[in-house]
Amino acid sequence: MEKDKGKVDWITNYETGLDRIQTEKKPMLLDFFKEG
Amino acid sequence: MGAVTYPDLTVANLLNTYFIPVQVNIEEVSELADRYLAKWTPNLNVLDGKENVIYKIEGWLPPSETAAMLILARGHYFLHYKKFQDAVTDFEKVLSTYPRSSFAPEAQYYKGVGRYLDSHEVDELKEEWIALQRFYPASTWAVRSNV
Repeated sequence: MEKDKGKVDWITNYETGLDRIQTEKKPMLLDFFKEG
Repeated sequence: MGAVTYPDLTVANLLNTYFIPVQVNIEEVSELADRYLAKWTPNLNVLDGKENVIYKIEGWLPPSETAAMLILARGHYFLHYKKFQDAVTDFEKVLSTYPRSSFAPEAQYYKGVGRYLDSHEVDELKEEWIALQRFYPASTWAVRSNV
């Protein structure tokens, strides 16, 4: 049986993420990735 | 990370629940990458609202290691803001849920730090660091606690 999958609700704009830190009082996980 | 680790249910739930997950292509944000000294990917940074880097790690991790790392990093976040009991709870969660993780010795070390900073009782630090010496004797964290 396939293991249950999740989906991360990524934000793709850094500034938007910063704003969300202030409102939600949680740390940001900033992930730099490279295609391929 | 995108193919295996992030779709993992536990990892996704941790990121969605306890963090603001932001993902950017390093080739499209050169100024931001320079600011956070990101030269290699995957490159994960846990930041607070003042853009302080609370925790940083480079390189691929499987789901269980990523889950342990995220809980550990959250513990560091609480430690930074002097929420010592919350920090200890997260460090203990790493130890109880992922005792064989490569992040477990660090969690054991900082569990002692958090308990000491909360209570100022040196015996609480000793208790955790003795456990560190006992359960993770080969780790660099055991060396650091061998005072």
